[in-house]
Amino acid sequence: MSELLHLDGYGLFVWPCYGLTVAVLIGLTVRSVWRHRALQAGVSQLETLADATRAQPPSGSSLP
Amino acid sequence: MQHFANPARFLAFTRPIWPAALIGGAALTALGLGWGLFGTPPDYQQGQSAKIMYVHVPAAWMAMFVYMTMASASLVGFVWKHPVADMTAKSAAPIGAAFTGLALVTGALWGKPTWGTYWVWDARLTSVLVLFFMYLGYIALWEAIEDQRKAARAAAILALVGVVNIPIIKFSVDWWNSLHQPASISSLERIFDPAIHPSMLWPLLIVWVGYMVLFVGLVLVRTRSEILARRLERLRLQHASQETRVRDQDILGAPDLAEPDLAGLAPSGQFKGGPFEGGPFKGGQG
Repeated sequence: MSELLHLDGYGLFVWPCYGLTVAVLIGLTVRSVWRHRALQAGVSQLETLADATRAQPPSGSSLP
Repeated sequence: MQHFANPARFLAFTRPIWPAALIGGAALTALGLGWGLFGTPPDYQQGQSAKIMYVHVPAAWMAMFVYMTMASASLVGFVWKHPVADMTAKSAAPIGAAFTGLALVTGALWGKPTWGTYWVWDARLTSVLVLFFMYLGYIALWEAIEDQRKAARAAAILALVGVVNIPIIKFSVDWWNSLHQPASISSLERIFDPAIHPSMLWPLLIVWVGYMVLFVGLVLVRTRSEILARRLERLRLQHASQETRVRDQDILGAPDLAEPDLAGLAPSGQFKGGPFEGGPFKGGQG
């Protein structure tokens, strides 16, 4: 195990490379998926709202 | 391609693809990286530091490939004015920047034990650094121009001009003296007769395929986000204008919608009553 960490002295260079690669790729993926999810939720929320107002034309008393 | 210029069709078509691509790409990348790290022999010259190859080389390939994808999409967007092409180019840029950044940093970490230095201003390293700045400039240009159509055109021109850099990166190790080694896998035919042992070639290729599939998933989900963001913006404007209309109708007695007898009786009472007091006319002070 310690040999794997050490990698003949190159561990100090090899492990950060792998760690950084995994961190950057996961970070990019998670951010992209989160943004997509949030936008999708926003769009469907406004779309149902628009559908509701279209089905029920606004009258003066419908104001909050 | 014409088919997908329609944003709604693009959204419908890509819905099942992007999650599959992200999962498949992540799995392949994990397999390749695990194989590279735990299942490969040390290099006869570079020892265990050669394990950096499995993250560095595919990232560097992707840095150039993503740029060419971005430039191609920019060209399509520029010539045929397809908004989905523009959005694809915009979506690819941060992914390309990420791969280029990874190639630079892992390259520096490989350079220290191998060459004795993290960085040297030679043709290969410098041209890849220029590529990194091209990506950042491209992203900044999109951010700087508010009108999305103008931003797309300006960014497309920048992306197309930057294509000059790609052959410079590719051939820099042949044209100039460089600390960087020349390509071991230089063309498609050489894949079957490469200057690299199969035990090292396989994990390398798997990481590369993993990165490619991951890129497809990422660019699709990001392009979808761009489409959805514009749709959300449009819906918000519609919603806002609808609300304004409702409020106006409420204040002015909505002659076309209000009941006839109320419309005949109400005006004076309505103007003195509620809506005006707290309405938009007071807004300047509040």
